[in-house]
Amino acid sequence: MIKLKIQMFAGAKQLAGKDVVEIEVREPIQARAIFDALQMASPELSPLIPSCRLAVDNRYVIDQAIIDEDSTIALIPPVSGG
Amino acid sequence: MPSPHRIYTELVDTPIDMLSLAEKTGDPDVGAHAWFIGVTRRTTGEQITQTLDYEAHRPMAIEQIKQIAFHAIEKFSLAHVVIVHRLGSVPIGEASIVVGCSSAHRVDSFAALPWMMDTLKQDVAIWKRETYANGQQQWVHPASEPPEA
Repeated sequence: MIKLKIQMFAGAKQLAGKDVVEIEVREPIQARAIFDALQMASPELSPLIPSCRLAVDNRYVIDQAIIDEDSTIALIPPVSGG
Repeated sequence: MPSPHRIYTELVDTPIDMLSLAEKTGDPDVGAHAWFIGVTRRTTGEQITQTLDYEAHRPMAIEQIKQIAFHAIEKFSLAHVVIVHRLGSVPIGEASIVVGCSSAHRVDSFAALPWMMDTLKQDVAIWKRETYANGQQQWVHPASEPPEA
């Protein structure tokens, strides 16, 4: 198992109560597995996760993407800039 | 020979200085400048807003904003693009975002502004939280929890 730190923002940060949530996932690391692990590590995120995207090294990735363990990973709630 | 394209993008933590931005779309070869200024609105339905607070995944947001500017130049044959987004607390009437562009003809600049704003609102990793006059706060996104005191 690999330990990862996932950055939280906005409503996700508020629900999780912290800036970073630590998770454990199996290799190869798939984006979809990160969502599952986040729900396990921080069940408070459950209502928001279905509407979130994952960003890896500042770019959105699809659920099937394989992620390098050294990447910067962020949970991105629905955005509302402007 | 036309001037090279110019792109200016920035995330700021202080009020946006419009006067300093106006010259950034200037060019003897353009015939149209267009600007959009998004400001904090006081009313949303029956709710009275006191302030909006913006938060960003900064490195991701600035990269995305630059990409929007580059794509807009290609898509609408623009000469120059300016996109500045303010973060932190933005009081009523003050600007949270300024988007400007210039082009040889007005039709391109007119079309580019809504495209840039729509794209920014769909993709850029920036969030806003409303604080209402009654003290309630709410993140503005579809899965927000109900307002809390």
